[in-house]
Amino acid sequence: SSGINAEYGDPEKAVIETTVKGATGHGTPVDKVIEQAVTRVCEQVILTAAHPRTSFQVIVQIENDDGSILAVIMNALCLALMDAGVPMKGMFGAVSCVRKAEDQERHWDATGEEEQKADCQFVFVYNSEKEMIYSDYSGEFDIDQYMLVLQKGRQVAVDLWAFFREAFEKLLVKDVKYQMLLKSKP
Amino acid sequence: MVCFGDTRVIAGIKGRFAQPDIESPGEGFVVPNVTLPSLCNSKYRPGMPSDSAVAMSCRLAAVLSKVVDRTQLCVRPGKTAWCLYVDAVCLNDDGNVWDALLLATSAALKSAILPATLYSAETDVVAVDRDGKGTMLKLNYLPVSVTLSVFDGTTIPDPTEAEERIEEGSVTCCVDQKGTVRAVWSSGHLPDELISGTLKYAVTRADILCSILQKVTGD
Repeated sequence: SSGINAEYGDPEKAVIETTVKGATGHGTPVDKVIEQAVTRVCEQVILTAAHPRTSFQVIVQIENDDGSILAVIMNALCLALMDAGVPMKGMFGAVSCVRKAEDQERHWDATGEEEQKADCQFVFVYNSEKEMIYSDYSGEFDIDQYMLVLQKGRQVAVDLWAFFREAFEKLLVKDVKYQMLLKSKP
Repeated sequence: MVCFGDTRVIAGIKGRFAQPDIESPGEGFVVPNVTLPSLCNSKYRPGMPSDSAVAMSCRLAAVLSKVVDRTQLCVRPGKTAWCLYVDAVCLNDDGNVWDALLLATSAALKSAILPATLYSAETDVVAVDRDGKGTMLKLNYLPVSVTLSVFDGTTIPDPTEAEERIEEGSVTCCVDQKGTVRAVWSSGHLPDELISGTLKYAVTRADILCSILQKVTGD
């Protein structure tokens, strides 16, 4: 889950402060790496120049980590930003993939167990123009295969956005203000 | 010590005996730590390690976990093993600290010697044998990294601090001495054509860094 509110900050653009809290109480250094990733993605997606002297506090609380945590955090971040009505350049979606050591097969959205057995791990974040805005990869791969996974990840991201849309439509059906807005439009 | 322009980083390795983990009695430990003291740049305040230092330590730990085979650090299975403290200190931060610190760490690991040890059964003490011949630390591969800043459709390698402050994004590529890409992380809007070109450039630049490293540490 993620939460956002606005305060005072930089005179030229909005500042983004991220806090990542792990599932097990005490912070670990890995949380700092995730914080940096979240801050960088936010800086690219949020219209920071439109909000000077403002700070966006992004709080990520990991409830349970069963693999693909960075991708899940990025997707939750997108939904939280949309829900908070923060002006963004566009939506973004994160996709994660691992290549298992034993069968050399690609697995999308790996579980914790699959990640442990993997020799390669990819996370790609795409913006709404389907261009990469953040990536994290470790393992032993060559450039051509990296580009291949990047391209295939785009299709997965498109499915993800279709799911976002569905989720929001279900949410808005119950929203009285939105329904009234729809009825008032000719 | 590595100097990339004005950026200076020094890395060293200290070995201490430790008791191995119960779950892995035949393995030692590699504990990396990155220090970005206030002397290297005014943006770092004294006191608690900054977020960048913690994040870099974490990334370094992830890279080194695959580089050093920890079974060679075992002295007596279940009882004593080497714990290598890999310390990297930035003496001056003029941008691109990560590349400098990984190169310094690789150089330190490549020239590290595990001292010979003596075990006395009567006193149950393991000690360093100062007259004995130590063994060189064996590395799975030698990591080297190339960082580029992304600006408006082009990439600039080895950014200075001024360039880092205004960059739109950055790409860091960790490569081994054979030219195999081991890790890539990037932020910033990167069109596809730029990505593959950047990665290929990173591999050629890493090759130059590796040859310098091997020339200095002796091969």
